[in-house]
Amino acid sequence: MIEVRDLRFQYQEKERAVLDGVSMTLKDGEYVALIGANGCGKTTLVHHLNALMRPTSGVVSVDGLDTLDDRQVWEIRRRVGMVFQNPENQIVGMTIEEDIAFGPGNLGLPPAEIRRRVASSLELVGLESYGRRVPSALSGGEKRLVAIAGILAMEPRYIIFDEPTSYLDPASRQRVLALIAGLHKRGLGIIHITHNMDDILDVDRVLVMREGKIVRDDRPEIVLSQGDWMRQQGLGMPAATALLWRLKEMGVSVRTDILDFEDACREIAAWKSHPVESVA
Amino acid sequence: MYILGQYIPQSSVISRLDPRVKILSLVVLSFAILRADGWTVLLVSLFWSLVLYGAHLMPTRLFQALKPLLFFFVLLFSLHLFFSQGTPLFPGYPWLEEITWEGLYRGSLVTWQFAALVVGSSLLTMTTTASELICGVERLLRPLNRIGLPSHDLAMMISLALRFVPTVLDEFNRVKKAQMARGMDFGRGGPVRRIRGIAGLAIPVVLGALRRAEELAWAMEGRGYQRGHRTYLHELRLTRPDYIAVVLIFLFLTELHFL
Repeated sequence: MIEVRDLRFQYQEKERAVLDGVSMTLKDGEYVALIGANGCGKTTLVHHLNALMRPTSGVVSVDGLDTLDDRQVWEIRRRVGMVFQNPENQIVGMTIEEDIAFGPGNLGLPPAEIRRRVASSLELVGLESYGRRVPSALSGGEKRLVAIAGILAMEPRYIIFDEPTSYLDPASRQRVLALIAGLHKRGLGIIHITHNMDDILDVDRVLVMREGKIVRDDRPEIVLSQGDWMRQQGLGMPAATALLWRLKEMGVSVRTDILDFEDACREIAAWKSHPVESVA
Repeated sequence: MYILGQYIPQSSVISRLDPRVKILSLVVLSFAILRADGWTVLLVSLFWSLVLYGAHLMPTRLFQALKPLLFFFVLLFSLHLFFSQGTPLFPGYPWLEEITWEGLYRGSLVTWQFAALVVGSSLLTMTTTASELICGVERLLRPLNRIGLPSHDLAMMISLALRFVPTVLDEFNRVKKAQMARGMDFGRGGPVRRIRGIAGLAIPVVLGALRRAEELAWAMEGRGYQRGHRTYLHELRLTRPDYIAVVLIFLFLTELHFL
């Protein structure tokens, strides 16, 4: 379990705290979304979870290992993988297989084990034949998958995805989302940062951040369907929920706590029998 | 399009050799080329031809690749031809008296040396992948670890520099197009305007590269870089062809020494 207790972080002593008393947990195998407006501290928070950053005060622990303990840092980084927002900036190898081997190589694993992990990671992300290719020859979606494979090769227990679907076309986005869902099914704990609420319909919990604090921690159907509150936070809603909210504002009596597109279609179809009270 | 020094995927005796053997051979043979004179030029040329044959590289492709350097070859040859003291090549022709036998010989030799060095280094990069090269450099530099020079970090720096060349070029083109879209014309104006234009391109590209470097450092640390002892996907191991190559080069150099 990843546990954060009363985490405070400020870059310099007299500056405003970027993280101000954050407490949260990620249980084994749990899938959690982290949302919030730009600059609210999401990325700073997740950088604390694999000891890339250290708290000014408070405690961050991974399976009981304290991130402030220098002897535990490498084990924490092995257990908590981080897929950054821009895959271009995290691919270090001249070829795909060398990039995926970078993490296991840093762990000092024997070459045979590195080869096994490279092969299995490429298979997991569906790029089995890409080992000898060069990074510059890949599409944006493929680079994202390579970045994920590089993390998987370290066999982590938790993975943090920082906006994994940004700048992707719909097909690549679906591919990345399906991969994340598959990893969750395999028992990995996942934190998914995003601005696209349609990406996180299946998560176990949604954490909402504002100005360095977690202001909401609840199930997605409860958080994401609160249109007025989400707007106040500067956040959007899933497309289906936004449509139902708009219909409701126009006077159509439909439920607005629906996130799924198919469910929303059924709700609208059922509304045919409802009278329209007023149309704005 | 065939680019000088670009790796050509193929299976040949030379491409299968250990990169350490290839790098060291190139260094040693480069000295031999720079010291070559008289008959040794022919011997070195013959040796190079055999290596080219072993590398399955067609001489026509190599000449095609050397074409862009033709101007330098001509310049080098001409400088020696016209500016060397000695016996005139065309006595009785005052306008040609600057051309001497010594100039012709020195010009031919220096041009040959330059071409042989280019062919040698191209042979290395055409038959060795960039990652094999870096791996070879890293292993060769390992003894320097004892005096505090981290061979792995040096190899990593070379590798990252090569890895990010296409990325930075992409960024350069993006910035250029963005500025052209806002009315910038890089092909017009005087030198001051052109220098300003280049500065306008260089500053955002350099800033972008620095930002990228910071993110890259985060990502590398996140994947355990600098944890301590590290291992590699491919471990280099010398095999029989490598030992044969070392012996052949040793014999060749001995032969050169006695000539």
